[in-house]
Amino acid sequence: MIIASMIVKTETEKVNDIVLKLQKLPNVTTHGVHKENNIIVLVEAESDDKLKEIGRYISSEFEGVYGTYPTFVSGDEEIGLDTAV
Amino acid sequence: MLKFIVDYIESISNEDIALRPPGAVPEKEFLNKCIKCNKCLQICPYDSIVTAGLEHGRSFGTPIVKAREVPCYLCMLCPPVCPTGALDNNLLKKEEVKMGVAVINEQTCLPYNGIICRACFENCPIFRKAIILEDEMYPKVVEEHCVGCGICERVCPVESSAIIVKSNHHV
Amino acid sequence: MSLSRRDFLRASALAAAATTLGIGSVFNNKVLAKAGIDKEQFIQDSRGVKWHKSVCRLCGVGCGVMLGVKDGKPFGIRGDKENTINEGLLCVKGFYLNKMISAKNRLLYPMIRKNGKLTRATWDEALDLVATKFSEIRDTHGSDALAFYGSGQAETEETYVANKLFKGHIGTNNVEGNPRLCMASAVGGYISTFGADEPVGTYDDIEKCDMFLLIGSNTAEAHPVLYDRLVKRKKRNPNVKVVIIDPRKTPTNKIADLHLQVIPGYDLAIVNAIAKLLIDNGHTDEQFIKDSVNFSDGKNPITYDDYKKFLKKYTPEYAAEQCGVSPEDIKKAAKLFGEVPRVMTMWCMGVNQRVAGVFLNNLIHNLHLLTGKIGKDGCDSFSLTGQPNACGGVREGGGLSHLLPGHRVVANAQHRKEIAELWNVSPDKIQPKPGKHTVAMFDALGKDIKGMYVLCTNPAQSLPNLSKYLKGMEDAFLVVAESFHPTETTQLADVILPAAFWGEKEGVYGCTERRSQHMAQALQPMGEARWDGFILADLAKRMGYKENFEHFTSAEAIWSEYIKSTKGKDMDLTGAPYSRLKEVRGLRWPVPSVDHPGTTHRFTKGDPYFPEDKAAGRRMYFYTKPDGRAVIYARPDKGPEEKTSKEYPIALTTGRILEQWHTMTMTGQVPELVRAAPEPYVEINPDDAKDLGLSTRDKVRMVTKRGSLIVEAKVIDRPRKGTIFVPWHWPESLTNILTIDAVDPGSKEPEYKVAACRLEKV
Repeated sequence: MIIASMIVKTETEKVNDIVLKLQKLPNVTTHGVHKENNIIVLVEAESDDKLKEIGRYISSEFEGVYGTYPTFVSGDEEIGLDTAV
Repeated sequence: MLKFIVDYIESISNEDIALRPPGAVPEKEFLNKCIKCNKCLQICPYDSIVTAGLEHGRSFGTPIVKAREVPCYLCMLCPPVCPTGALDNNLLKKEEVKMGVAVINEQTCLPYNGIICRACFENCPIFRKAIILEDEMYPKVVEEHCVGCGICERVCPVESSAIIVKSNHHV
Repeated sequence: MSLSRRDFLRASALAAAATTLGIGSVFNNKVLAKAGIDKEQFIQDSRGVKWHKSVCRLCGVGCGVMLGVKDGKPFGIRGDKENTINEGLLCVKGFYLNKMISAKNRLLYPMIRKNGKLTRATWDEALDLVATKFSEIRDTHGSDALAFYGSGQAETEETYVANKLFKGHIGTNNVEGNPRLCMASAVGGYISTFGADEPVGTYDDIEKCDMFLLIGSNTAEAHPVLYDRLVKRKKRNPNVKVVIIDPRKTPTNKIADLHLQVIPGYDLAIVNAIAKLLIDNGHTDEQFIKDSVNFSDGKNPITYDDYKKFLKKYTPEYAAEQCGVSPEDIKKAAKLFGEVPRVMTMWCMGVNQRVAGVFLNNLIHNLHLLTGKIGKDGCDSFSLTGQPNACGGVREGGGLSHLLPGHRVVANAQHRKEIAELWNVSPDKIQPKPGKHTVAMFDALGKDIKGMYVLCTNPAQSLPNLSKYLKGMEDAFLVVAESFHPTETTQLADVILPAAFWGEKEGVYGCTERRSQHMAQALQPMGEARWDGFILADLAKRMGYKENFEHFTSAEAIWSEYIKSTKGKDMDLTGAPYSRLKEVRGLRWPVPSVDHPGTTHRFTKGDPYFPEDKAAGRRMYFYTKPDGRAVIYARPDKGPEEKTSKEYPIALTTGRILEQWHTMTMTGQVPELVRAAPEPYVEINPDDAKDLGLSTRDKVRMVTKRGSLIVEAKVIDRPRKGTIFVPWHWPESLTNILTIDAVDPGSKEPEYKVAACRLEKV
């Protein structure tokens, strides 16, 4: 399990729409809009590939997104061990 | 996008790969040839070469260089003394050494974070060739010229070096 | 367990995002609660860092830094983005400042030498001992048997208190500081040429300049952040030229268009030759010369024609022969200097640390006065400073044996009167005769001088011809106020006093470009350490001068008294009280009132003291000279004191490297920096190395008439053939036992930059 946070920068007018859309995505939670057009997003993905996929999806499929900027990433190693067993 | 995640994961999986002394033949062959006689270790004037411990598994007892502690200063004394050719006896020029290639972690490297530092550039023995400073600020490794001696890794003033030599023998 | 770890990671991820955005609490209480983390606690942990505005403790550039403090402990350093000097950029030394604060060898309590050994003492014991001893020496041998040796790293307030105590109360002018060893020649140059110390322009000129002439300065390593500004200027404007005059191919050469690699000690001829070519090529500003320039041979006024006659000898061919460069390159440099509209010359120790230091400074100013390339955007004759407060504390604060605060001199009766009034002492308490300069002072130590107070510097490593002066330091009653122990000097001391370090004290630093900047106190001093300003005031009280020191209860109180001394002077700081300095990123004097923005160019429009009436239409009026004219000096060329010979065929020159600073009392405490430059070495030209059969990492012995030293060779095409370069940082390898203690006759600054030596393979 990968836990990552990122900042999604959007066009200011569309920021609320995008928050709503983001909230519908599985394993994605939003944590407020900051400084007008920055959404803080927490992503929990099964693998780094999935994480990349989500990032790509947000920046390419959502209209009005300038970009997604990862700020933190970490693997949940203990979970990893559990699943390995 | 998210390229750094891939780098990050790679950086975990590549930890603790030891370097071989200059002139080492490919790893598989090296392990077959090296008789753990310690001749290279004894001739090294800088104590750069140490013996691999148990944690290195099959390599236990073979010569390695831990660059962060003592790198190879390329005096070229060890290749000729190897009795079995695990180190290429004919290698005499430091520019021809290929112990590995230095890789810069731009996440932690100081200049990439707005802090002026020239340590790796200034100390590189293949001076102005193997490491260059882009815009007089950002160090870049020129793979073609980098010999993998690890002096840069030794001098990097970041807590866990931001420039690490990836051993040629891992792959 | 694994669940809470995951939640902790979630919280950390959010904290990272919040920090990136530079915002406060965004934490979802639920996330934190599930992880069993108290929200307040978590905010405290991840963002509970308070940042304090300060100035870098190391070189003279004056970079703004923010010191982060968490739970009363240094947390980290970041560049101050709002500071226009560095705009957030720092070099690796500044980045690790926080680690110097909490270094292992911080001196935590006073120590007194008992039976030859330094033993722990209380503050009362230590200061009473110093006061008794100093009073005893003053009463038996006279006040000139005492001396103070300060520092260009001390705050202005600290130097001010010391000056007041020694010059105004003990009554000796034996007050010196290490800027004598680095900046005195620049001071001499500015005062003789312009009538007042410190540059006309500011760093702002860099971004408008078309050509940089760098002489004796390895800007890339000694002033990395300024170097970055030069690099950026050149990168954005590829037409910008950089010309370097230096015996070494330093890292700065990377941006050079032309390098005159001179034999150390002979470059005066080149600068005179450039002056001659500027005139010959018709590149002078005749109107400016007519309006604002006088000529002098150093003793008497001469005419422009006399000056031209004097220059006759300095053909490019003559200069080229003297310095071992090609005459064509000198012509190229002169042509560039004359043709481009805006030129800045910058120089550092390669010019100042010379027996002809003041002369060379004068000659550099000549070039700018001849062409009128001064006092306007993108033009200046700009001296780079090595220490963070050499300008502010010692040059402006008057911390040398011939100076008084506010650009005053002890020899002037009116100046003594003004300062005596401010200090509340009788004017005859301040002696009219300058005290001993640094080298003379250490020469007299243990003989005429019986007791010395050393503040924030390490002379037992930094003096030239070191072996000669160590005994004096051992013999005399030596008091050292330091933040670190052991240093070479504390080991010789009779009393050592733990001083609060950077970050643990408030004060003002004044950097190269006349900018005074306030540093906040962010931390409590470690152990029993106290602020130097208070230690000195306490000593004054114990010596019986309570009345004039008891109001010094804060740094602000001292600063407020000090800036009174600058009122109406060319370096007016009355518009820079603490209340204002705390808010802004420094102010550049003259700043005569609190609504004045500070001054970018002196002696011209925009300078509050520029007298429009006297100037009468002239672009520049040097009001610190009696007739408003700066002086072009006909200064003959002069080689180094110690020329190379058959026995000592190699010229030895010393200097700094990027990752270390001075005697390593600070940078030596940071393992990361030590790692970056672990061992002493000498740079040897490949040709010389070949002759001696040396290769890199071989041991080599360097021998001068004064001593010898063994270090590792680094064979590299940097020093000119016949020249070696030795950094002087490592205490285990005292480079200064090799250097010569001959001084410039005017500035009394020693010639660290040239000594004759021989190399022996070990």
